[in-house]
Amino acid sequence: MSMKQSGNLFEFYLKIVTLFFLVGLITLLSSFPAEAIPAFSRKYDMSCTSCHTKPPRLNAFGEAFHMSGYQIPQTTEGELRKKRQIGRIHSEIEVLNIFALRATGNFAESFSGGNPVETNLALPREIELYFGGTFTDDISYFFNLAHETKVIEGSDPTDTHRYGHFKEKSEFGLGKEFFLMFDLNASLFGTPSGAMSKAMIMGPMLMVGKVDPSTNFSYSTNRQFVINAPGRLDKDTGHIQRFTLTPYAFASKFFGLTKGDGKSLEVTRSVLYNSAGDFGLDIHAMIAGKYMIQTGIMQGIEAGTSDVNEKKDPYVMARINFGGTHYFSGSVSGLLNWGNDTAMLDKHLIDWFRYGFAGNLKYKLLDIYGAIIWDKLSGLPSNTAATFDDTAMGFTIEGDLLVTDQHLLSLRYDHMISGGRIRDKADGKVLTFQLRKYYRDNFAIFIRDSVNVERVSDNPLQNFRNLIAVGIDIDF
Amino acid sequence: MDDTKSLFKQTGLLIFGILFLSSSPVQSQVMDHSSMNMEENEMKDRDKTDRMKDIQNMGDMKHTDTMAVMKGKMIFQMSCFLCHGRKGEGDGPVSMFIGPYSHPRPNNFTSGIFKFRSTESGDLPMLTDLMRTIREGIPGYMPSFRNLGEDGIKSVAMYIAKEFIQEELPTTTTIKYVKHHGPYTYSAKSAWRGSLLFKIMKCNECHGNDGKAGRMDLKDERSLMIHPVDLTRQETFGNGTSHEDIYRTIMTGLDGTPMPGYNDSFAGEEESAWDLVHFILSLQGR
Ligand code: HEC
Ligand code: HEC
Repeated sequence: MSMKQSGNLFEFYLKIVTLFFLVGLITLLSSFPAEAIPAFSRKYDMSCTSCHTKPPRLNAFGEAFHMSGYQIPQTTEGELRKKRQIGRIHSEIEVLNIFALRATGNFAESFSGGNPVETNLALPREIELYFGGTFTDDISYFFNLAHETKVIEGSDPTDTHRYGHFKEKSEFGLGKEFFLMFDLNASLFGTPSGAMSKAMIMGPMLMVGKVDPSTNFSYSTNRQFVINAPGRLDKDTGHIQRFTLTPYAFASKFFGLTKGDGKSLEVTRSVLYNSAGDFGLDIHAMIAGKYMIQTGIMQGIEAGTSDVNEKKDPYVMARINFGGTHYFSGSVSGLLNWGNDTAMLDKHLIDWFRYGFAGNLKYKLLDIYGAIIWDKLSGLPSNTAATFDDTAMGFTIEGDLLVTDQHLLSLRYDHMISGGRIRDKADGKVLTFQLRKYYRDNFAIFIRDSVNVERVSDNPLQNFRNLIAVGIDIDF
Repeated sequence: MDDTKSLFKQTGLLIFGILFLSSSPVQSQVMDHSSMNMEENEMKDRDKTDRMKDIQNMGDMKHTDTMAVMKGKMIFQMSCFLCHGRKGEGDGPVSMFIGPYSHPRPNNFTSGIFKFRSTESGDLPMLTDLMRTIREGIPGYMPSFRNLGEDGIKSVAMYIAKEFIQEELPTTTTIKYVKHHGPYTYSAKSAWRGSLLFKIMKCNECHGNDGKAGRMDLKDERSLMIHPVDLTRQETFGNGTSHEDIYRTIMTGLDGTPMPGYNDSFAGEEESAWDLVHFILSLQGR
């Protein structure tokens, strides 16, 4: 074992101390009775598992709750300052009812394969504060503040490297999502008391801000038990040695692309409809509790609010839910997404067409979900025809099983047939196995192993054999 | 790019500030001690209008009933089914996640076994019992649907009765709901008598001498593990926490669970059940 990144002995000891501190914290936390639970759960006086199979993944009720704008489906909650009554508790808005915290990350990870074994000890990588609730019957809000370390981001290239130029940074600020959600049901259909319209159509809900439209997809990008594993960067040169490990279906998949602002785009970065959050506008409605239709536009791949590409990226998604008896439920979704002038190749703006399907089956305590996404680029500079592959495909499937009250087993398979510069591109196949132990519904530690089942090479997509990690997931 | 970043940070802070200012509690959480008072006023008004409507509608009663059941169906099949199952058999997609390996899970409405009743153990609940459960929710497991409004609550209860229970629900109960008066008003003495009853009636065999859940080997009617409720923590009570609620729990029991009904044991001297209620309240320091 070589402590590659952290050569300094003092730092090493510091990390050991941190580890002991964490273990202590875990022991302490796990001895509390399970009563501290995050915001919505506090607000409605319900256990985490009413909405989650286990946090962060939503079960069918949680999905319906989210779709209805953080309200119990079929009901509305009234205004921020209005005296409300939920259940037997006269509940006023209290900070703890709108606020929650999540800390996730690997506190020890070890990579083997292309490089000598590399072991890292770290604090949780990501700490997020969430705020969510309702302003009025028809307006709800959500935003999160996040502190994330080891974020790999494209940087301004000074020269061209095969895999792009990146920098690693810690980030504090507004997080992945930040939006207002408006329930247009009343304004479209009127509100005669006991309106039938409300009982037939949920929404339409309009979301404005930095949104993650894929929350409504049968496989949402941002709710997974297998968290993204950080990539590795040569910090001096900005050359990437291993990409961040994410669900490949949602990844950008093309080698050699840059974002609209000219900065390198990581091949495994979740983009377009499947980004974990980007600026846009989204409308979705659920009809008869079964059929969902969603449409919207996004600003462009991490284009921010400054409109670098002028044109927007529209999408439509349709989803059908089935089941509802015998502990069985499921859904299938189809997606069409047009990225207009949304990325760049050799400083030319190009178009990006993305389409795909996702499905989800839940039976008793088993939850299986997968997505297959195809990408096709157009408007490429003509001189790249022979050297650049303009199609790509990604496939991700995950199965989770709650084997006991406290143990969750996950198995995920990721497959990427990448596109982009033919001389640089490579395919990825990764099998991940994970065991989570929940000391309480909102507190888990996990151990995982992601195995690269393709060959190991210098290509940042293949530059590991095993990724073993131990980490925590705390929601408060 | 950096400009937009800082712009967003600022807006973030601004909204953050607004939220915190507007979220200063107008009135802190108040536990409801008496469900009687809680709704008296609201309910009176509603009752009045309801009665007037009833008189007006006497003629086409059947018609309004069918309409209500239809509306109830829509509410149920949009929301409740997620836990209770489309056929009301307690096998909705979320059911297992609520109680993966232990009690409670949504119950099977078609079995006719209901926990929260004002009727004798073994009997079906009254429509108002279903309505109370739907209105109040069940802490920890089922959200309150108060915001459906009384109309909505009633129609979904009617749908459950018609579609799943498929039997006429009782409209009265043989259980005597006496008032706590005279020596049976809340007092240290009454609570002390209750503490004796608690042992004489063997409540402690399940609940432990201190009320903090003793037995760990109990099963519900579906053979799922069930723990007696910790009587010192009112927030875990599913059947309500007011004096009257606890009285009702003791008299009716919770069907489908080991918690028996004590109506027969108190026959003729129902007042002394209040002693037990007061003992339980005293355990919670109220
Ligand atoms: C998040 C899941 C969930 C939702 C949504 C839900 N329930 Fe329930 N419900 C439960 C659970 C769990 C129980 C059983 C609790 C227990 O036994 O303590 C229950 C029990 C009940 C009971 C029976 C209580 C008894 O006496 O045994 C009724 C009636 C009921 N629910 C009606 C409804 C109606 C009507 C709706 C929709 C308006 C609804 N529920 C929505 C979870 C839910
Ligand atoms: C055979 C065991 C048993 C006995 C005897 C018993 N209980 Fe219980 N009791 C239970 C169980 C189990 C529950 C939890 C039911 C549930 O979770 O829904 C319970 C729940 C309760 C509750 C809470 C109900 C709620 O709202 O959730 C009260 C109050 C209570 N018991 C009082 C008593 C009193 C008073 C006695 C004696 C007169 C008594 N119990 C005797 C098993 C028992």
